[in-house]
Amino acid sequence: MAIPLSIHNLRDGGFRTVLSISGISIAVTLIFMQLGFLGAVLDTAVLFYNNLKFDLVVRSPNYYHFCDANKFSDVWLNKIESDASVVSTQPYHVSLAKWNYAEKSVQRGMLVMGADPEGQTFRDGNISVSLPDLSRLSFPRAILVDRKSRPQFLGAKNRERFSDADIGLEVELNQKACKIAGVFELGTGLAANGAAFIHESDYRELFPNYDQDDVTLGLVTLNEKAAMNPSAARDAICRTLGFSLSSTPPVEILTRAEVVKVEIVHWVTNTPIGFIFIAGVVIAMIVGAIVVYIVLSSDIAKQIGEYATLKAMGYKNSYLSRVVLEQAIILGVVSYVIAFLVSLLLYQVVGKAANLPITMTIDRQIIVFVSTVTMCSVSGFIAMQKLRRADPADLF
Amino acid sequence: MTDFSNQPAVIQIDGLNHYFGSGDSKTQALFDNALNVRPGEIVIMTGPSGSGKTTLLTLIGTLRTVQDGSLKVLGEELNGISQQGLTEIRKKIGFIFQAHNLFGSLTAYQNVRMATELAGLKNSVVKPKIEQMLTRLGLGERIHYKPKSLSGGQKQRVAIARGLIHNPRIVLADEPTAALDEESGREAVTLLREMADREGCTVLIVTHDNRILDFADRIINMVAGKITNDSDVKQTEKICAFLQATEIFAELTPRTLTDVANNVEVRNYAANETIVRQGDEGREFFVLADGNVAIVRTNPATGQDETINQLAEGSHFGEVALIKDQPRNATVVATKPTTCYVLDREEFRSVIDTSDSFESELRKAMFERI
Repeated sequence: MAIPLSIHNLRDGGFRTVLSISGISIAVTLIFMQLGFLGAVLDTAVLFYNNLKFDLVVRSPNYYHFCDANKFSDVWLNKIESDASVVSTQPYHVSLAKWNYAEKSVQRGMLVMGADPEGQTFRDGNISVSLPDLSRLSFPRAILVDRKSRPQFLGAKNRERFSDADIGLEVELNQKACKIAGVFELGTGLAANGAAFIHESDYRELFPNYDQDDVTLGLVTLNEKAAMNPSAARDAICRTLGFSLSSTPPVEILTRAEVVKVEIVHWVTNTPIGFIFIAGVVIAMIVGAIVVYIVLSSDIAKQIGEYATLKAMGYKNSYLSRVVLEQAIILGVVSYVIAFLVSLLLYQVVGKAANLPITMTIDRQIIVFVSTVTMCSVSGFIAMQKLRRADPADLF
Repeated sequence: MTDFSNQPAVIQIDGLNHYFGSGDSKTQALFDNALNVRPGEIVIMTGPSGSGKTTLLTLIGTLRTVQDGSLKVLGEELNGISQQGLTEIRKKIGFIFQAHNLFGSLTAYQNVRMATELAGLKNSVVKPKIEQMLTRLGLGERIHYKPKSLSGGQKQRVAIARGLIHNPRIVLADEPTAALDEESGREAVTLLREMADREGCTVLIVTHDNRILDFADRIINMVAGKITNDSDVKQTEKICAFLQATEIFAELTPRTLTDVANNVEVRNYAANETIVRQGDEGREFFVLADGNVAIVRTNPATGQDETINQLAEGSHFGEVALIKDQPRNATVVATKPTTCYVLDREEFRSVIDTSDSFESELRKAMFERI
């Protein structure tokens, strides 16, 4: 078997190799974290929708994102409900409210969702678990609080997370006294510190500008047949309502798939969030590439005489290039494995700390692996140029 | 022992020039060099630094591109050769560089192994050979040590083993013994000698190490980009020994004697061949190394040729015309197959200038003869 010069070189590098693998691992971990955060943000961005029960969603054409959704008149919802393909419609209300609680006078942003507790608003198996508590919303301005709300801002009793122990706690939403009646579990994105659920009628009290017939989101349930092809049902409804393609309709109607897609596109392109995380990935890749380049090029510089000797012996340039590229890829793969394990741990820790559901998806593993190998190979190719300086004529 | 001396030359150089730089800064490093090296020869190249011996070595080693003239290595013309051709020739050459250039990440054994991998030899074949050679070079205990655990001399010996392990046809070495003590230096050179004798390996060594000069078959001296002196060591020794036994050269210092020996041309004549003709311009001085000659002078009265003297080996002739700057006063004819050492006028005069004893011996001889 041929002598694996690349492995010997790396092994002989000792501390230097360990240091470089650490450097690359940090860069790769950074990539994992950035993509993890981005994924988490996107997950939470669509989390709300994932928990709501609907086949079609009706919303204002001025909808921006879930926490800034604008509103439309329930006239449209009633019209849609009269369509043959529609089983029911539910009005749903979402907005940011100012939250403060007894101990602190500081106000925090809180996402408040309002609906009729009797209505079929939530999908089974999601937040419905805690929703027997919805019955408690029968007393005035009772609220349910998301257990995954950021505790440090919101005043849970045990200072960590809201629990049944917080039931009865008096808080203020938009300077209106409310009482915690129970908890549910949802998880909040970056737009708010937490989420609360309140009865539809109380909701309007918190927001004086929100009129009796205003709706944020209309949740449409189609009959079984129409639900098979929601976009066709939507097109039919739009035609019935007389919406034309040429002018902006008074309300937009989207299928579940469209809603999710639009939400993700919004967070990635319309907000700096996508850019920040992608920039983070790019910077981490550049840092990683620089580390690999420095390691390889200093290694080549140190052994330039040896490489030149190999050329004199009759080794081709391609052999030397392969040795360098192998070193680059070995560094990359080893660093990837370390970064993967570290990231698994960090996802747990950071996810818990930031209340973001960061999960290690297969897609992300593949993307990061390919990025790492690409990053290292590119550096390897650039470092290879230094091999040209290995001129055996200089050896004598 | 095989005699490789009548096999075709492995290195043939003719009209080789080399230049460095371009435009105004272009300087010529080699000037119209010619050299033939046969298989099994050990050639030592000496000369001041900057004389071009390293340039010549890198050209022979295919490490530099031949620009002008002809350079054939192992029968392949290097002027205009393809990259592929170069790599093929390189595999048949063993290099020993002044800097050992061992991979710090590989053991002594692995470093040597790198040279055999290109040949695609199996580990089982190569292993005993490498171990044997390293042991031979005094590294038996350190075969699996990395260079950082070896002394400078030990590293150099590993590099020598690496240069020789693949049975190269040509070994090019740059000061291979500089880092070695007397004993290991001798062992290394003995190894080279054996390879030359046994396998017809040709060895070119650039060195200033006087201790190994006696291993050489030939010593080439380069000055200012030109081979000024290409002496066959054995021939020179023979000539020196012969000259020293003659009357007129006996008193010369060994140094002058070697100079003379290096500068003589060995010329063979058949029986009855005329060596010098009466009335010709005198350009050369002859020492009779082997055979007999007759001195013949034409009698101006009769017009008849008369043999006036017979000379045997160890005698000399031709000095009168050189000293007196006059035409040959007699004809010299070989009476049987004869070998002469011939010194040209300039060399002859420079010997006279350096040695009083030589001049007085000559004058004495001349006086007797006239």
